[in-house]
Amino acid sequence: MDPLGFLWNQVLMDPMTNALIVLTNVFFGSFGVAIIVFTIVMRGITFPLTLRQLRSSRALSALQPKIRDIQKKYTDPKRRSEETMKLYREVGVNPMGCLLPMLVQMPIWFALYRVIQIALGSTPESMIDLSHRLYPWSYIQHAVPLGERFLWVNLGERGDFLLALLVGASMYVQQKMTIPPATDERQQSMNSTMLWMMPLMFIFFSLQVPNGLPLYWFMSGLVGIVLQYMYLGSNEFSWRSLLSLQPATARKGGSPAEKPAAREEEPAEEEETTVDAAERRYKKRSRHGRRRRKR
Amino acid sequence: MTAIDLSNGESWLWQFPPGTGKNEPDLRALYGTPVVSKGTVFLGGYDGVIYALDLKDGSLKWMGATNGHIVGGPAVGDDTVYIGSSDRCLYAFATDSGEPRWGEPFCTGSKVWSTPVVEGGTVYVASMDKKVYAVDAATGEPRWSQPFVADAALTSTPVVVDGKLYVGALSKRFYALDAATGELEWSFNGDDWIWNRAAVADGVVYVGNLGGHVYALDAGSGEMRWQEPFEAVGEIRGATALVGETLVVADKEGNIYGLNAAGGSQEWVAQVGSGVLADLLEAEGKVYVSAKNGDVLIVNPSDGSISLLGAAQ
Repeated sequence: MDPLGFLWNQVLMDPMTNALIVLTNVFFGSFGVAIIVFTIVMRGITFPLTLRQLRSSRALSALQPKIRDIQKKYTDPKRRSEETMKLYREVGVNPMGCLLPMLVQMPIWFALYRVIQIALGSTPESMIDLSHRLYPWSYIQHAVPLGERFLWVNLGERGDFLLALLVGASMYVQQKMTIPPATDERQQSMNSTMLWMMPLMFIFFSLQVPNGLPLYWFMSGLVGIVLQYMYLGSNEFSWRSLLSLQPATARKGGSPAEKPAAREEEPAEEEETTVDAAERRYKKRSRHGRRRRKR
Repeated sequence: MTAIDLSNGESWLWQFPPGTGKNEPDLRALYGTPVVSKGTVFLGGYDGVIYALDLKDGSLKWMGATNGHIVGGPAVGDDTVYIGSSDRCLYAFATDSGEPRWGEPFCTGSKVWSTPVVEGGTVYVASMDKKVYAVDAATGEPRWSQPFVADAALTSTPVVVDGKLYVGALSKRFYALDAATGELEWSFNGDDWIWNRAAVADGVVYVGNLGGHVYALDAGSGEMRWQEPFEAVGEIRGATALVGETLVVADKEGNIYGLNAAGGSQEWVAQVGSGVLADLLEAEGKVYVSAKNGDVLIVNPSDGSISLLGAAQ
C-alpha cells in the first residue's frame, strides 16, 4: 500500500470508524449520540489548531486597512510585497497562520465525512466496506448494523428538511461571528454574499447526503459557535447582532451590528484601534521575550 | 434488468425499465436476484418497490411499495410473492394482482436484506436484528415459539434442505437449525463475514465468505469435509453454483474457480476482467455469470472455458 493510502486508511479512517462504533455501543446503540460525542471529541482534539486559526484570521483582518494603504502607496509589486511582509513582521502575524491549521484539520474532516457514510452501511457496498475496516473484536463486530433512528431523523436516509435548516442556521451564526467587519462597500458586498452563500450551500448539501452527515455538520457548527464565542467574548460579539440580516461593518466600540451607520462613517479609526492593539500585543511580547533572554 | 434469449446470445429480449418514456420507474439499483414464476418476473428495486413484469415483453403488470430500500430478492410460493425491505418488514403480495396478502407486513427488529425462502407453507427470513424468523406463508403469523438468535446481523439468504435451515452471519459464524422448531443443530466458525447463500448437495454444505475462503461442511455435523478451506484471491460475495462434481466460485477480483466438490482442489481458474458480485446461475449444465462491468458470460464448468453472451446496457 502506498504511504498516503496507509495514512488515510490505517491512521485516519479505520481508527475513526472503530471509535465511532465503540461510542455507539457505549451510548446504548444510538449512532446519533455517538456522532454528537465523536464530533465534540474531535473538535476538542483539534481545538489548539482552531484557536491558532481564529487568532491568525482576526489579526490578518485587523491589518487589512494598513495593507490597503501599502497597496495604494506602492505601485511596484516587489516593494509592495516587501512592505507587506515588513508589516506582518512588525505586528507578529504569520500570513500562513490561518491556512496551516485549516490544512491540517481538513483530512480529519474529510475522513469523518467518509466514516459516517461507511459506518451507516446503508448500501451493501458500504456495509462490505465497513467489514474490511472493523477491528477483529467481537464487541465491535457484533455492533453492526448501527441503529439509524435518532430523534425524528433516519440517519441513513437523506432529505430531512428540518435538519438541513438547522445546519443552515448554525452555519449562518458561524458566518456572522467569523466574517470581519467590512471597511468599505466592496468588502461589505462580499461579506453579504459570504454570509448567505455558505448556509444556503450547506442546506443544499444536507438534502443530498445521508442525514448522519448533516447531524455532524450541525454539531460541528454548534461546537464552532461555542468556541468562537469563548474566543471573542461578550465584548466583541453580541447575540443581538444575529437579528441583523446584513454582515457587520467596522465601527468604534460596542457590538458590530448595533450601529451600522456610525461604523461606515469611521472605519479607519476602528481599524487603527484594532491594529494598534495588535501592535501593543506584539511590543509587549517582544519586551517579555527580551526580559527572558536577559535572564 | 435485461432478459436474454439463451438459445441465441445476440437476442436481447427486453429491458426494464425500457428507457423509452419519461415516467419510467427509477430502480436506483438492483441487488437481489429476480425470480420467474408462471410467466411473471419479480424483482425488487433499491427504490423500495417490487415489480412484476410480463416474462414475454417485460411490460409492467403491477408494482408493490414498501417503506424502505429493497436489497434482497423476492421468493415465490403458490400464488404469493414475498420480499423483505430495509423498513424492517417482510411483505407478501398476490402474484397476479399485487394485492397485499397479509393484513400487516411481518416486521422484525432491523433491516431485512436477505432473500426469504418459502418451504412447506412456511416463509423463512433472516434479519439484521440477528434473528431468523419462520412465518406462516398464508397468514404472516410466527411459526416458531421464538425466533432463532444468532450472534450477529444476518444478510445471507437461508437455505432449507431436508428439514434443516442453513444461514451465515456477519460474525464469521455459520448456523444449521432445525427448520421445524428453529433450534440450533450446529454452528461453524469461519474467518470472515458470510454474505452469500450456501449451496447444499449430497450431505455437504458449501459456503464462501468475504475473506475469500470456501468451506465444505458436513450437513449433519458441521465438521469440515475438506482438509482445508479453498482460498480465493478476492472476497466471495455471490452464491456459488454446484454443477455435477464441480463447485464454481467467483470472486470480487474477477476470478472464476472450478473446484473439485469432493476434495476442494482447484481444477481450473479463469479471469473475466471484471469483479463478480452477483449470484452465479446454473442452467442446463452451464454457469451464467453477471460481471460488474455488465458483461454476461457463460462458463463451462468442465474446463473453465468462457464465452461472452453479451453486455448489459
